[in-house]
Amino acid sequence: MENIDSFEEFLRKKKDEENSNRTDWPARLDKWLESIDVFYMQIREWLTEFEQEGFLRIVMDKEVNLNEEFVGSYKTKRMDIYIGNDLISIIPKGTLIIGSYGRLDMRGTKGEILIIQPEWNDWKFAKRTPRLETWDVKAESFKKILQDLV
Amino acid sequence: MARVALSGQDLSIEFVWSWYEDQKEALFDFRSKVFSAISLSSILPNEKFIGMTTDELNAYFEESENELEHLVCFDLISATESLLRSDFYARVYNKDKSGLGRTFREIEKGFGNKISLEEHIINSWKEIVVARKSDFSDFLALLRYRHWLAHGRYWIPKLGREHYSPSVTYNIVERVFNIVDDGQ
Repeated sequence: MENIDSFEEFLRKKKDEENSNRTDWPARLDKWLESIDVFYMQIREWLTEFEQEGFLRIVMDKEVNLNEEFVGSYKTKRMDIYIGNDLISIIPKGTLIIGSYGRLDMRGTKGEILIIQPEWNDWKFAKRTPRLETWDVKAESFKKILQDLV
Repeated sequence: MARVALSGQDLSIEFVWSWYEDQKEALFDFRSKVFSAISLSSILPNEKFIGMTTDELNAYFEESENELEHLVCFDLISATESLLRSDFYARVYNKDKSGLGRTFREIEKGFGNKISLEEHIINSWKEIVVARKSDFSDFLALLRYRHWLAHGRYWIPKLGREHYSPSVTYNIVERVFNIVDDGQ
């Protein structure tokens, strides 16, 4: 009986912790997916003139299936940027990320770089060298990374 | 022949085990703290974890635990080597009259400071404690693992078993300690 009581006490404590630190996971997921859409639109805007001139091509026809604890399964899209014979992909990795509301991995033939958002819609490139270096994702830094990855 | 100056800094296997348990608990607490930074924005994560997914964190801490286990096994085996070598020199310097003491003195006369743990010390013990020689055979097999750890793990070791956990290692070295403690 004593064990049952202490177990119940343990469960109550965990429940209280959950209530005091409650995260609205469905809302978090919506915000995460929305932040990806906004980011992709921003990238399109930065690259529009080059796409119109036929220097590159942006394709978003591939789905990414993610499954995260608390959040569950969901689908989102990756962005593929074709430049000449090269491909750079931006692939969502999830919203349950340490120190960030989400992460995208940007991959090319010459490597990979992380893109994180420590605050909503404030995207940063992140690289371990081995210390973590972060810097803003802006039009110019994004174009520089595109060149570095192919 | 110059005497070996014994340091007295040998570790007991009980101390190594207790230290292992402390480190394991500390590692689990740390893991729990890092994981809670995912859902609690009030917790500031250590910079090196920023950007990691839960799968990457799990892999990181699994690797940390594996490394801790390797180092603990290494410490346990080293403590046992220290016990066997200290016992060897004690018998030689104290002119131990037992059969083992006489054997050790002859070896020391012949090989000086080039005493092999496996060939000289362990093989001598195996001849004396025939009924428990399999305990020394297990320890000899364990020394292959120690050798692999000590030399940088660059080859695929043939260990005779897939994995030496700290508890398996402790069990093997404890039997050697018991034999030496029983004396001959």
